[in-house]
Amino acid sequence: MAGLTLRHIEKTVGRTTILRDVSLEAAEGEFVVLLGPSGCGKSTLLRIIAGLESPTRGSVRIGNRPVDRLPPQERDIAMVFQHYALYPHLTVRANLAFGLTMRKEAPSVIESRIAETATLLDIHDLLDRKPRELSGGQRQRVAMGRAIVRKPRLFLFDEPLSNLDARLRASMRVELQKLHQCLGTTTVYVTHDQVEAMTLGQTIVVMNHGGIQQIGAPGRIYHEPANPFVAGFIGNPPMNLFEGSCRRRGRELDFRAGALTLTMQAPVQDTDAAASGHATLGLRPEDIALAPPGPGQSAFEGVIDVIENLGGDHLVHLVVGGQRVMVRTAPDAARRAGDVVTASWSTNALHLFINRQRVPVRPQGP
Amino acid sequence: MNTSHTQRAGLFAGVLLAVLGSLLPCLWFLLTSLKSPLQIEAIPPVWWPDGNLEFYISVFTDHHMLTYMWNSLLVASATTVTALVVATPAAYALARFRLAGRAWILGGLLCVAMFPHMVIAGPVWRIMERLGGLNTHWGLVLPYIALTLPLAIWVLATFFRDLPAELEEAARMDGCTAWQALRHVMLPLAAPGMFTAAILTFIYAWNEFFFALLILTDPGRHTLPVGLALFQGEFTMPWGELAAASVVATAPLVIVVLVCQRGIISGLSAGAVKA
Amino acid sequence: MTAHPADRATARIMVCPALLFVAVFALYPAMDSLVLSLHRLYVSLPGLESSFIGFDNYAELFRDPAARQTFIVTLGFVVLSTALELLLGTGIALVIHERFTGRGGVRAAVLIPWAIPAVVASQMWRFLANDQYGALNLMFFGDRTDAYVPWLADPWTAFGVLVAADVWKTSSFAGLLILAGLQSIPEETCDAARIDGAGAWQRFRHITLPLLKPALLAALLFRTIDAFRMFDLVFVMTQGGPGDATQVIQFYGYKTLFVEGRVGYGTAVSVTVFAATLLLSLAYLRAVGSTLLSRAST
Repeated sequence: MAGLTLRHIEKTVGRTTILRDVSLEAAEGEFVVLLGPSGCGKSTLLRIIAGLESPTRGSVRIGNRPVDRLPPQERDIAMVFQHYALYPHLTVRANLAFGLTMRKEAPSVIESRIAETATLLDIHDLLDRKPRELSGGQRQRVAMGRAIVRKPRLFLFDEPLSNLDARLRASMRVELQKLHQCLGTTTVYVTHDQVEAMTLGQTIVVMNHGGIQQIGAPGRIYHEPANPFVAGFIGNPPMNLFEGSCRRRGRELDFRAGALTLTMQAPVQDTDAAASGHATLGLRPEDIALAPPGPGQSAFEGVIDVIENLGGDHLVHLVVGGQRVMVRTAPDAARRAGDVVTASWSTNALHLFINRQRVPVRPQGP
Repeated sequence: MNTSHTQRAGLFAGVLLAVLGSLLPCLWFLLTSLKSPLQIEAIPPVWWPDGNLEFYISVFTDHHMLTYMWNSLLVASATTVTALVVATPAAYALARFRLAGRAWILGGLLCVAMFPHMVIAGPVWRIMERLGGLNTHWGLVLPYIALTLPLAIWVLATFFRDLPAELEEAARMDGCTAWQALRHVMLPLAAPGMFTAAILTFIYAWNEFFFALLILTDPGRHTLPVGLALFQGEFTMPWGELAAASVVATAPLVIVVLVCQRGIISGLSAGAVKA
Repeated sequence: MTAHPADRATARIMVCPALLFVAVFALYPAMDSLVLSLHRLYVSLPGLESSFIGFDNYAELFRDPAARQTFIVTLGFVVLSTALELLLGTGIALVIHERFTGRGGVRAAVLIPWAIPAVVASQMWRFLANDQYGALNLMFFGDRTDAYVPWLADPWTAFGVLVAADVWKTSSFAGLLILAGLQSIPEETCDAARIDGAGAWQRFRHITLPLLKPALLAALLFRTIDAFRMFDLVFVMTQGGPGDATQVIQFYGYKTLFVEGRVGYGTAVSVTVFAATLLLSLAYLRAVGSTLLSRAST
């Protein structure tokens, strides 16, 4: 049984297309994160689920019920907003009670639900305050409380942590995760922060330009990005991407990007046609070592441009054949800008995209 | 140092000019209202009054002042309440919903606010004749509502637009219909805007003269402006009484302005420059 | 900003009562007047049916010497009072925009002429200009009672007093519109000019004034429209006199329509005012309104 089903959602305003053919399914109890840069349409998608916007085409089902014709108040969902949207004229208690009162719950039920929620979120002391008397983190908790207290069929979060400072954000992330484990309500969570997406999501939906780029578990999104956009968007520091072309030569594959040429020892198992054409090669900074190549590894030489100290690690910016390459490595006090170094990586770590599609790179058989 | 001195002096002179220019003409009427009948007729006139309240007493006992005030209060209150009840949902919808023709409606309202009263007075008079609204207060209130709605809607729409949209969306998610979101969440927050709109509407209805002159012919139903415009004594112009009556008619407005200066200033420019 | 179909229906219901009021008591009457102005109709001749005469009323309006005098008076009044109001309004705005202790009180004081009922203001100025007991004479001539001027009995001075009263009453409104414009100029812009070495006058001339243009335009059009519609002052102070020296077009329309009962012709007069103000309103919406409406719709 599906918690949420979106079929072929499209949204255009005037001549601008905001969403194109978005289909998505979330299982009952699943935590789905919509991740993408600003303007990718993720918030619009969330608002369409909420009923705050209507799609130009396509349908939304919550549970097994189509909700396209229902206004937001009849969809039985709760939403946590970016700016919390607490009712400033009501106390915290009245804020929590508001949705239940609107749904004409009995006062005793409201009372016990508020108590339950307050315990869950540890906000008992705040119940009689007004929102303006709360700190940012407290407002955030109350906003979540207002969503939880209603026991809706679906939770929507619209970048709820983006207004908190870094430490609070980290602790709220953990708390959100615990909360979801405890409540098990289907959740759609919009963010542009990949750390939030990775830590919270059971499924991540990467979006760009109004379309879905990839749907998958966090590990899969990280290790097997479906296309150059996902590859470049996920990961910090971002993956090194080289735009160039590919040509197959017998059992080897030549990749050429400007002055940089690489010959892969592990050819793809596809036909010549599929293996040739416009190609993007990706290598994560953490998959490159500043050491001579070992067995099954490739290498190139580069000049160190800048060394950034990240604390635990160093981020070394190399210039290789006119291209910039970032390498994340253990600190080495001897390295200086201007040094010529050898960078090596194992072929397993390569991400190859031909015509913007992922092509599996496999090590050569023995 | 030097320029700042001249600037301070210039500012001081400007403040002085603005305040004196605004208040001195009123002051003359105020002083007149406190004179004795003998002092009024002195030629040349005298500046300072004896502090005589005779005219004030006469205004209330011989000149129906209480009736006029009561009529004005009635008409202005009824107009304000109804106009606000009608304008608030309209302003909310215009500010918050993607309504077809919204720009046209807002622009059209602005034009209606500019209509000369004369051009609609004749037909309105005939409508009221047919409805039996001539010489009644409701017959005056109805056109007043239509004439104050544009400004009220602009003031409120500007206000609604500046309230965070998330709040109302949160209310919708919490199970409110559009009406309930307006009533439970937006209205309490829009109170300052409603207050401003109410004041502007009230001042308009309290001061309006032309329609009141046309629709109300029975002196017992006259509002203050009509009463004051047609103010007459038996033989000579009763300036003292007129001045006293003017002070009484204006006093509530002066108090309102003193208390609500901020709201009036922000409200008046809605629909003009600021919106 | 929800856009659900059900909400759109609700939105229409919310707007309807207001539109109904405006339609019945403003739009329909305006249209009715338009039609009426094309008919011959006299109140004093009840037996006479109203008959369609096309634009004859308007033709008469442009032949009638009384109407011509009215046009001249109106135009003179509009130009003179609007110009003075803009000038004074700018001054008022600049003063009450500054920060100083007691600014709230000054702003309230400046607002008082605007808040006073027009009838009261008219009576006040009528008394100020009184030939025997008025403060104007006392101020200018003191004890020399033989020099006292009957301000409202002379065509020129009566016109002058009328303009003065209007300027006194409405400069503050112009000032408020201009103040709103001043408030929309970021303080940083003026600070930048100050650091660039601009003096107070240069800052006003090269920074404030150009940025103030939309507000000034708004004030100009609002005041022009209002000046065209001016009625209360004339009704109370001069009844159009002496002679017809202060007979502005609104008062002329009132007289022909409601006093003389020349319904068709009188309506044509008021429709002329209507056309003038409507043109100005549309000009305003075109100039300032496009940004105003688009901002209203975001």
